[in-house]
Amino acid sequence: MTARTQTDALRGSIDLLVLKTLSLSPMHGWGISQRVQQVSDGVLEVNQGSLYPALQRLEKRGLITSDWGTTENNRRARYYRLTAAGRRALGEELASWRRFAAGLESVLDTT
Amino acid sequence: MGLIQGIRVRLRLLLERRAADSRADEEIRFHVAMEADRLRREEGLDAREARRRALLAFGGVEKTKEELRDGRGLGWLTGLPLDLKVGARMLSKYPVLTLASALSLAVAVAVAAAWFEFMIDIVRPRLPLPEGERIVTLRNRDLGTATIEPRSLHDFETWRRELRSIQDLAAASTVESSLTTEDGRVGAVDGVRATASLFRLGRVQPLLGRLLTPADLEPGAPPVIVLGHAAWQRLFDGDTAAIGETVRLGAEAATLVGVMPAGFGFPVNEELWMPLRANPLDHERRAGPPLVMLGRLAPGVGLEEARAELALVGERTAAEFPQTHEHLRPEVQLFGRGNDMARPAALLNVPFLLFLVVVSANVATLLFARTARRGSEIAMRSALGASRRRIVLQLVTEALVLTSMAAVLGLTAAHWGLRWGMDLFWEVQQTRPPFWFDSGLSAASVVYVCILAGIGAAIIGGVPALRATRRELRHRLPSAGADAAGMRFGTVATAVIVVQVGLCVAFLPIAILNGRDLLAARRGSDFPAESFLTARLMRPLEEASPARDAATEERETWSAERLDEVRRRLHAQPGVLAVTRTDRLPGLNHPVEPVQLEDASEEIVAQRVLDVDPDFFEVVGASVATGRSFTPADVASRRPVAIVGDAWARETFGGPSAIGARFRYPQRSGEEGNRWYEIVGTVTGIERAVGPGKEVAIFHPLRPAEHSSVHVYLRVADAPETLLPQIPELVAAVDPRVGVADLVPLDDVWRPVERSDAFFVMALGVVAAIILLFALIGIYALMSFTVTQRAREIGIRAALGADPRRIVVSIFSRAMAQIGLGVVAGAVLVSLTVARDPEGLRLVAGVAAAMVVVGLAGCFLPVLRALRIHPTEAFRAE
Repeated sequence: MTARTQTDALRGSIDLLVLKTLSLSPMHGWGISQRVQQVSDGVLEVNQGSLYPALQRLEKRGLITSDWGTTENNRRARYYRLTAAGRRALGEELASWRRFAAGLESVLDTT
Repeated sequence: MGLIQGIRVRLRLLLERRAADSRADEEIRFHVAMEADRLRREEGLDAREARRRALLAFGGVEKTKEELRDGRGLGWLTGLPLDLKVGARMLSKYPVLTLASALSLAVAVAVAAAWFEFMIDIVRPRLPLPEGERIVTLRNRDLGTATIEPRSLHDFETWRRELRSIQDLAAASTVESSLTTEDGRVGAVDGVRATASLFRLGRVQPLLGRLLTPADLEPGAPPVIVLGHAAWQRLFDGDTAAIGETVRLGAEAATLVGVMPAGFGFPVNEELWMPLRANPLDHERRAGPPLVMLGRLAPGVGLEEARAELALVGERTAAEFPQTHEHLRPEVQLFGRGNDMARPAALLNVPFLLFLVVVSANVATLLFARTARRGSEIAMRSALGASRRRIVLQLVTEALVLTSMAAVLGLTAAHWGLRWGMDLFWEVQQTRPPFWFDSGLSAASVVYVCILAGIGAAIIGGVPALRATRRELRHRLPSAGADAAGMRFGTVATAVIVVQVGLCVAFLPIAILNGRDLLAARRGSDFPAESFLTARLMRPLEEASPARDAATEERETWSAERLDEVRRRLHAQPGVLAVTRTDRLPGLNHPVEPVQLEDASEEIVAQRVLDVDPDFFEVVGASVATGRSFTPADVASRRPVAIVGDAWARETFGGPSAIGARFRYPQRSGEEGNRWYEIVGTVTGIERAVGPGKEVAIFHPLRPAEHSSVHVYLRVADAPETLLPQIPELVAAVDPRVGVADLVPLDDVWRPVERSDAFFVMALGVVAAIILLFALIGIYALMSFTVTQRAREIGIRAALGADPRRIVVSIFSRAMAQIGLGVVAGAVLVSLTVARDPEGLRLVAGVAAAMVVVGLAGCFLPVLRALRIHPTEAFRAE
């Protein structure tokens, strides 16, 4: 799998990844990108800039909300947090993603 | 997500653009700093390298910011000032094109705005009275005849007693009279007899003295009047001592007790208010004076509640008095609304809007060539990632600069034109405007014009932009130099040419013929209007009269005799050569009436009708061509006879055979609608004597008893002005109750009418000239553009040895096909109207020829240029 196809695959699911990451705790943008990278062991390396339009999109849909806060080393940062609607949406998207992945898996296994 | 929250978030993002920009800046800065820190920490890079790598990993800071801006839905705003600047620059780069486009758009905007404003003034008047928007009118509608029943004295009393949702119910009945002051000044004043509640309703205090009070309405109370500001100025020179003076209204003496402030004419354009002393007990139901009824919605009450209550009262009355009220339905409306003109007036906005669309389409075609030259710029921007929406928006914004310019010009023209035109309109109507009438532009009209500018810009910028940004065109980048050639005029442009030519061919001859008719009516007149005086004589004022009965008829006969006596006395006056009378001043606000012929065709035509004294034709210098003139016996016997204009007789009945033919007025009500009138004579030389405009074709004998006022024509030996002051005295000597009004030389009556005709001809001429000019420019531009597109192809074909003549023919034949199609379409359209007029056909031919010549000229120069292209040049471009 080339880097290019990786990114493309990721673009569709970036909303899901952000929601999932934020379900653990409120986080700033850089934190989210680090978290995704760490958890996926570097497989899901995203163009970090593309994270922000996704965050804006989710905020517009009311799935997340944001506020200014301060980091451990005293820098001002924008912290994102899941809303109740976001939590519901995460549940639904996860379920549908799992259904899709399971379907794909079974097709790949049988052919 | 809740709707409210969604709106809140969006609003915040939209409104806090600047804040959002700086937030994005800060977030991105923070992100890059954190990433650089990490790289220094984990990979031991130096600060500069770490920052470089962090930026790389982030991947396009500016692009991300742009994406965020787009995501907020306001991306287009960032480019707006630039687009506007580019738009202005493009306009100044092609000044002639800009001027032609802006002027024609401005004309379209001006007429559309002027009509819109006029419509608003008519359909939704705003009363300049305290809480004027809560004033309502009440009336009875007869469902049987679908007409308004104004004789509602009994209902007025009932409603005043019972209605809770409407307060200060007032009634008014029109009155026109001549007023004589103590020092002998005479003037005509129009106004109303009204209940005292009319002033409570108006909530306006008098300038001087007092208003009418309920005590003034009591039987036997001393007669009083209140005057309007203008009448007070005219008759008393604004003298404050006038209050308390005794004046004569016809025969009645009355005391002037009050003067209203300037601009107050409630309910319409009144100058005189007298007490309305009508007792329902004196009248039958559905009898008594015709009334206008007004009231004010009670506090907290809506129109619907008032309607419901009035309907209930109406039902009860109908049940109680089925004989008179079975078909009557009371209705209540906001004052000035529910006008019968409302719908047609609103519908008339459509043609004006269409005119703007056509002009915009025209400008769009003109600018298309320019847009096409910018093909490479558009392709370049596309390639650099500008969305189609963004590019279209840019071109629309550029067009908006042009249409905004036109909107400002158009609004200014509408402002002045409306003021001038409305003054003329009221002058021609010989009436004062309603007191609420304001010929200034309202905010609604300004908004309307802004919308028009938007529509224009969408057409002018949007259509070419959509074509220029079509997907396949974006691959033109490699051959950007040949961009103009890459864009083809498609079916849209062809359609525009065809429609344009068609409109010209159809509209211009009609406009020219109309203008010619109007001008012809003014030319060659040998009617000496300057030696005629005219005045309106009003029958003596009667107390509001009940239904027609023997007594009424007797009174009418008596008052008609008074008018006859006035006529005799006027004639006996030295310096008066002849006197004759009509039922109205012909030429002024003279409507046409549907006339149905008795012959097999039963054709219905619209003609002007005038009632005249038997000697009218002789006095105005017309002569009876065939048959006979009217006789006193015609007047006395009430025989249904008519004399018709010679021109109409020839056209319709073929000359002498008109005598004995019969016709009727199908739209007159009742028995009148079925009566057949017999033609007993035809008359020539009448055209000019009956005023400007469409000539009067049908004359009937005048019976003064049937009219509330008649017009006298006095032919005088000397300058009419010298006689003017004597006439009111003369009339008063016969009977002071006969009112005299509108006493003027005939010339002065017709002059404004002629001016408005001239204005109409001029307006028609301007519109026609603009259409023609624009069509010619448009066709020239389109033709030369299409040929320029093919210049290279022509050059190559010539280089390869093609016969130049064949090339030329092939190009010209295509142009001719387009123009020819338009000519045919227009000719078909116009043949429906001027087919019978040979001059009309010649005009059609002339306009068509002009189109062809201009179209050929548009092709000629570019073809010549193309043929001169050197073969090497042509190939080099390939």
